[in-house]
Amino acid sequence: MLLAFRCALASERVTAAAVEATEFSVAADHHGVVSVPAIVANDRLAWVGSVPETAFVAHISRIAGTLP
Amino acid sequence: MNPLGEHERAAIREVFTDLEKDVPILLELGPEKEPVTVLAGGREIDFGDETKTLLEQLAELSDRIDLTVTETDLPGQWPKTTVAGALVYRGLPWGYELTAIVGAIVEAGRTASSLTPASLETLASLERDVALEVYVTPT
Repeated sequence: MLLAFRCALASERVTAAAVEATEFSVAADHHGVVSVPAIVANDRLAWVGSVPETAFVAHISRIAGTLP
Repeated sequence: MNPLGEHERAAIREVFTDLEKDVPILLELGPEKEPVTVLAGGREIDFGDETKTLLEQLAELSDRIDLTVTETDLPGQWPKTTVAGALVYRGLPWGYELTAIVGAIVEAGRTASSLTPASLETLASLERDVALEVYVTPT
């Protein structure tokens, strides 16, 4: 979660929200969340699980179309 | 309710001494669009009340933190906590997720990013917006 927050603070292109999956189970189900942390990017489930900073930023970069 | 014990308060107070700038926190309360019932300790959890109590306790631990609480009648994903106008937490940051809200405050209170220069360079080159939602649970 903290990596998402750090990225949001570092780039105006990135916004970050934590969503408590128990409380908002309808939204979690909608996105197919079955384990946490689950990262939804631009309204689509992007990846599941904690990753190091380098991989986290690379995921974002791919989603933004900067990396292939 | 007393979400934070004395040991936790002391530890968090220590962490908050590193805040280099003021950190505004906005807590928005309202009726939940899709209410769920969660029992803990033999009673039903009121997510809004518990979040408000927790944030009030956090705000007491540093003069750098300025908490504002608002309420709406519109159903939605409440409670919603916004740290420094940018970092959002939807729901009650309880259990392990307390670290997420404390971490958000700490990150927002820094004058320089804690990301590596390489990450900052990559983020600076983004050509499209990316809206991240990280689904978490208390444990």
